[in-house]
Amino acid sequence: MDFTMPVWLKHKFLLVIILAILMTGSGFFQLYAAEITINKVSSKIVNDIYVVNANLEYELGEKTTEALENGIPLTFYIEIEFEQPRKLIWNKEIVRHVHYMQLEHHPLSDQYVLTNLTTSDQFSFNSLNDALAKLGKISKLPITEKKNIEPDQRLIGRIRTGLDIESLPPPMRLQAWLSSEWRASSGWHEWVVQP
Amino acid sequence: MINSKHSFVLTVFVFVLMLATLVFMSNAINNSEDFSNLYSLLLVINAIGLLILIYLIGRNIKRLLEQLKENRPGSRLTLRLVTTFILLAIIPLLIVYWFSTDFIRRGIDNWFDVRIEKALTDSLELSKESLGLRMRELLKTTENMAEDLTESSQSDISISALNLSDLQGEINTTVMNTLDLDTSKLDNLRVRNGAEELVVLSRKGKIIASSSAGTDIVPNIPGKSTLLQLRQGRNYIGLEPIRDAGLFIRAVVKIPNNNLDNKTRMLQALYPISTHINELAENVQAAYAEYQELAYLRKPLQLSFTMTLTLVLLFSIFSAVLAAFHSARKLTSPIQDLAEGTRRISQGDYGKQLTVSSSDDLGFLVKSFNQMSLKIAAAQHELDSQRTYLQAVLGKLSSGVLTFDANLNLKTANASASQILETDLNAYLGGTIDDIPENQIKLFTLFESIKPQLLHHSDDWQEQIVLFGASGRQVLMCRGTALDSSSGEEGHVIVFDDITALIQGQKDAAWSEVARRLAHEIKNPLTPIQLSAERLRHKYLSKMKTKDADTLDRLTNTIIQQVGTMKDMVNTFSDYARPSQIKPEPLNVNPMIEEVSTLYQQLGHKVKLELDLEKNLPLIEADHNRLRQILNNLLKNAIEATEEVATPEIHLQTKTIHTSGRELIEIRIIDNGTGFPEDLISEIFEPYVTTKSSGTGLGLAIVKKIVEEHGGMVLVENNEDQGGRVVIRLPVEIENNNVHSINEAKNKLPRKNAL
Repeated sequence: MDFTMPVWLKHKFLLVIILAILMTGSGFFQLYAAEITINKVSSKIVNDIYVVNANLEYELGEKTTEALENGIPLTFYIEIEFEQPRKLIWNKEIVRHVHYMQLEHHPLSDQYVLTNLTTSDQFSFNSLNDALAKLGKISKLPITEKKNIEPDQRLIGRIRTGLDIESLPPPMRLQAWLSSEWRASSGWHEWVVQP
Repeated sequence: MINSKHSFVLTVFVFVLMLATLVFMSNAINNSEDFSNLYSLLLVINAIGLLILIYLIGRNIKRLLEQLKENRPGSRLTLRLVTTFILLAIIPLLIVYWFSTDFIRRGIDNWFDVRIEKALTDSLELSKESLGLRMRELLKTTENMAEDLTESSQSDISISALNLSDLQGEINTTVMNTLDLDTSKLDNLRVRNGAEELVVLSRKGKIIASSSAGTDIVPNIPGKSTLLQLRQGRNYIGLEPIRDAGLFIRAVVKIPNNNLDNKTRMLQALYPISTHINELAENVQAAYAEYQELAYLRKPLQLSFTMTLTLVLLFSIFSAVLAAFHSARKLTSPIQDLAEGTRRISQGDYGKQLTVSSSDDLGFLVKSFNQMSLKIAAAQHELDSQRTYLQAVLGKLSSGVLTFDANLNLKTANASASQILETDLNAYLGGTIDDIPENQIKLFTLFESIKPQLLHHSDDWQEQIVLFGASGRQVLMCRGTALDSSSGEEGHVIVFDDITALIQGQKDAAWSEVARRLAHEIKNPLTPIQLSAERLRHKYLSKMKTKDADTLDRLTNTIIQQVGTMKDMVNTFSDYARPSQIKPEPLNVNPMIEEVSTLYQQLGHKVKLELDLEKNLPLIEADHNRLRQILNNLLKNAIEATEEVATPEIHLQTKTIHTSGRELIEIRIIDNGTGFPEDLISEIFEPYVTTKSSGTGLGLAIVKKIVEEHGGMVLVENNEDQGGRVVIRLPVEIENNNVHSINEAKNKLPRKNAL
């Protein structure tokens, strides 16, 4: 039987080169990659307001730490959604809330300053780990009022967090988009919202 | 597929969009607040824009390559123009690009200087040192305050009246209940030592009590590492930037543990820094941070600027390439139109008008072309009308007209020529004189006869040519003349007429004259001869002896008989010579044939007569008696021809035929007799041409005369197997003109000694 090589295979060499370039560019072989994990998340109603508690774990990689030490403020987003599950099609979004936290280094005091961009609250830390620990502790983050949700509605909450590349200085963005370390995200984590 | 108009609109749209996004991108890189948020989007839009431009260029290149492959007019000029335009645009662009990237690299590198960096670092260090001195003093002060607090720990202290609900840290109210500190003592300590805020904390960092100069600043709990440091016995002193309030010094010390509950507590004090020092320190910090950020962004900045510049370069090059294609097409379009126009004219499509799209030299050329095209069209129209006129004249001519070019190719033939030669000559137009197939006997014979004249005669010539075809012998009178170059084109014109009928008419008229004279000359003496013989017989027969009487009787009888025979002959001659006296009336031929055949069958001939008559045969205008005479004559001939045949058969057929747009009836008398001698066929209808030993020899001549008087024609042919046939064709609508013309032709002949 006559065997014909698929067209894409004929360009295998080219394909390998392109993949290699993409992987190198995107920091695929990065040794110290950033890692963001969601350890625990829950929600409850406090004073007729849905609030979220979460325990997130941030670990910065080589590049992100270097940028931070060199005066580049890092902005983290914490995206929380309440959805109504539906069969066959995608879930219906009920509430969406994005919370931004900014971390920067203060060279004179050698402090790490964490700023809640929603409330403008600011916290200073001696060490980066303290700052990251504080960043990962989400406590009673208000999402929506109870009256906004229909009673007895089954809700799925989902959360994800990561570095907000669009908040970086423009010259860094293209590189950041191509780097897995900068694009690091926890991915969606779901839980059942208790009424 | 998008057409060129859409393509142009798309190009302009992409051009404007990309130009705008490049301006925005350039602003975004310079940290403009308006566009920095859109930077990534702008980058994507630019990339898409470039891809669209590449697609458009690809399309243009593909189209140009196709045109080159097809050798389309103007394609090579387009290629040359496009190449020139592109080279003219790209070379300066590349030079500018090379210098610009170099300037960017050098420019950004020049922002950084080791000395400035050193100065900034030193300034920062100096600030730190200067603040460090103050910090050490304040640590001492705080430690003293902690000792003061230890001493007064036995006293009752009430809780500070802070608005605890505002606290961000977790406050354990149970702890507060177990320890009561005197607020005034804490306030006193704070005011005395110039602190902004004093906080007593538990071992785990929970707030027990606090005193603050204002409510703006929320007490912060020290971080885990600070608490750890304290638990290890080392006090903490550090600078802390507070939002909108500048730098503060935070000191956290352990309160010496000599109280009753044996619990470790900590005192945190927040000291303000003088406004001036604060300002200076902030300036140093800001400058250092900015420089540090800039230094860190050096490479990305260079990359971004280079990328933006590259995008600008690519955009410029692609735009230039597209513009080159557009301009080249715009320039070559009139040339292509002109080429197309000339091609159309060369193919005979005259009068093609091109759109004048510009008023420049090319526009002038197009205008000239349009004028030329109109003139050619007008000339062609005139030529066509002249040709049509000439063709109409030739078509109406009764003479056949043929023209040949110098190579003896048949150029024109009029309708009469085709009609006379019974061939559609249009099929042979353009062919040479030698291309005529031999089975086209008439045409072949004619061309073979005139060929020597065409080849050798340069003057006018005239020749009578006899042709033989299906309808018999045909005599043509050909006149030819050679055309020389002064007539426009070399060649020959041949005009010919079918003079068969004329010659026949002349011949018939001559025979009629002979017959008439014979009748006249012979008939007159016959009656006296007969009368004299009868008188002789009457007078002397009775007086003579028997032997002499018998001789006289025999001789006079012979004279009387022969005179009678001669009278019959003379009457036949008179018949033949008599001018037409037919009395036409509508007649159906079929009943007459049936009637005549019945008569012959009744006479007891052994011949087998078979009729094959077409039903619904149209009526003809004919003289009943004359037609019956023809049928009698022909049937008699046929019977005589089949006398020696074992099984004599005669078929009588009638049918309707159409030739040359005329409706005719055809009567065929077919026998299986001896047939006609081949050498006599062509003149069988002439008087005294006969195959029989007896008779006047005028039978078929009279048949022909009567048929022609009816506007018909008669011909004889031999059957393929045995016997012969006589075919009579009579028009359904008799053309009186024909009858008259034949009679006139005969009347024109000199008539001497008329009866």
